[in-house]
Amino acid sequence: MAAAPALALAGVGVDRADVPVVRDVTLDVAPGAVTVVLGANGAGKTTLMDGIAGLARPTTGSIRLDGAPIERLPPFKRARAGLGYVEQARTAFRTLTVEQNLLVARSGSGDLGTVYRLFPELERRRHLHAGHLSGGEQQMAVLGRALVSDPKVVLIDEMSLGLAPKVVHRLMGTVAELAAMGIAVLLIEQFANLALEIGSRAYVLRKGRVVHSGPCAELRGAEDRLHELYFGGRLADAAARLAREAPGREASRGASAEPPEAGSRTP
Amino acid sequence: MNLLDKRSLGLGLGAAVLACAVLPNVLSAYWIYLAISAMVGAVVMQSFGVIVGRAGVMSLCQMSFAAIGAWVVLRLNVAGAPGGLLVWLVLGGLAAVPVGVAIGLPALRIRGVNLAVVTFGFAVSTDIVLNADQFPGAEDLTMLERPEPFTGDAGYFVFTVIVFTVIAVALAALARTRLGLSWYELRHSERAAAAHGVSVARSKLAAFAISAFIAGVGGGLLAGQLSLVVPSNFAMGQSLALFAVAIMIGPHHPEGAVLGGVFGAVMATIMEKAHLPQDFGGVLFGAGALLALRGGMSQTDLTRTRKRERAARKLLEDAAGPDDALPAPPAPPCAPSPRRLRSPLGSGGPASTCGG
Ligand SMILES: Nc1ncnc2c1ncn2[C@@H]1O[C@H](COP(=O)(O)OP(=O)(O)OP(=O)(O)O)[C@@H](O)[C@H]1O
Ligand SMILES: [Mg+2]
Repeated sequence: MAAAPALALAGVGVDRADVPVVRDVTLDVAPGAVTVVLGANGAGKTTLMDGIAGLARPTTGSIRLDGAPIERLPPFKRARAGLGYVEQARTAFRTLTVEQNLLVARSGSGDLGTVYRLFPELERRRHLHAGHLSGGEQQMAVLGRALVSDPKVVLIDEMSLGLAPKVVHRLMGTVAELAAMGIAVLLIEQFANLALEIGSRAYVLRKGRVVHSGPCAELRGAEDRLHELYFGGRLADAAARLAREAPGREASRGASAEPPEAGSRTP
Repeated sequence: MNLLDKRSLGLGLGAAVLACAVLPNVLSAYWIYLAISAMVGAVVMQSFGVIVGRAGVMSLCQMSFAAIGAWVVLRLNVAGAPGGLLVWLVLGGLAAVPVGVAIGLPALRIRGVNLAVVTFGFAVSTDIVLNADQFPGAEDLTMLERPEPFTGDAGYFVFTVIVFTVIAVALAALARTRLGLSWYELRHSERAAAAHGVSVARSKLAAFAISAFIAGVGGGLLAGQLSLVVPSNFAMGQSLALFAVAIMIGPHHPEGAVLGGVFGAVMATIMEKAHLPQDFGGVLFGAGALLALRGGMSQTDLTRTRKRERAARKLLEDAAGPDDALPAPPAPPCAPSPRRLRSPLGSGGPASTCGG
């Protein structure tokens, strides 16, 4: 990537309740592109995002937004410096109207026109309370809320959670459009395939560390490779240990030490 | 949106003018006195509207701020300060501001019920201080001078309506600024507010400062009504009962503030007439507040929501085809993947099943 990164992390560590969760993360988010962060449940993706946004304090390393260090700034100053954050779980303000949802986040320069152009359905529903919107529309409002302040970098954490495939596709298209508008997008996504399709660079987190970084194309469709990156040797270790302790049991049962979703996917 | 606001502004101003023109001419002296009480209560309600209704902070010491306003107004009256009641009111309000900010400081660290306890503690200590000493002018019965065209009770009613209206218009304008909107965001999530560039500390302190100012003005108005005030006018029980009314009615809308004021005045009178202790009223309000808390919405919020939604629904139906108006798309041929399928490539995810 020739352009200087809009967001650059170097050696970033973030604690949760005094326990280091994210360690020594170095990554670049290029303007006009989607950068993807992948990883299993509990890998520390959300913690990393919170650290960037300032909602959790980074303990080590530096975070630069357009070259300026922001790791010591309180969250609202990071936001004003040009950081938009779409938090995990749908966070639309349910008792405010759609328009109020957008207005609360608007800074002096931002306008609602861009959001309404991206999501015409929001404009039509702007006087409805967000609580009465469908899940997809609520997420559009949340995404829109991150855009009205004219951010340079947008962090998006699992926007597709619990949404219908059709809506997820629509939102992914919008994310790609944001990148085309010149915004630097850092995307966490449970559907790795979808993210890798619109992404240019991918990072994989495991236990709070970056275990892989490279072009998205490399990982597209490479399910086994991703699986290995997600869980590393842990699965193998657990299986081996179980086999040692209870030789009669099938080795693959060892996967139940993983979250059920992961276990059921064990090859 | 602009139009809507102009309409409600017109409606509000119209109602204010009508009230000023009609009520003093048709009501008996006793009812005019009650009407003044209602309007003074409405101004205090406006202060609840900012801190409780908008910012969602539990403050139980609004009457203590009011007491500061009343004290300053009476002190200025005794001293014969220039400017008259209108200027004194502003000064009384301003005097309450630093106290409001001081009470707001702990609110930066604690919230919810714990904060309510802190503010209630302040209300209790104000009670003690007030009871130790009389209000200025109480000893030699110095009467407060009302400004010229408003000296009679009918005139003073008009005066209170004007003060209320000015505050209501200012608050409506404020509601559309970044600060005003940030209060709504605080109420929902301080985390989200911060992530959207809101300085939570500044926004909260501003809410305390402004609500203390309004409460101070309300206290000054009360001094103007009664001329001689006693500490029990600002007792902590009052703060508590008014808080309950605020939760119940939703005084962040002007009609809610008026309703709250009327409610308070009428209830107090009924209690008096029925020889019931004033605290009983507090119990009633408390029950109502519990109901409102359970419902999650105050009365005026509910009414406004219903109205707005009806209008919006209609708009949607008119503007959009039936296809668009349906929130949920027809079930896709490819079943949506189960929640949080954590396969690396999400082979059950939309990409592969739908052939993205
Ligand atoms: N507030 C917190 N206090 C203590 N521990 C936390 C807190 N938040 C997260 N953690 C822990 O930090 C680890 C990483 O959590 P995080 O939410 O960052 O993971 P994630 O990669 O976003 O997972 P998911 O895919 O489920 O969203 C987990 O082990 C979690 O238990
Ligand atoms: Mg997460």
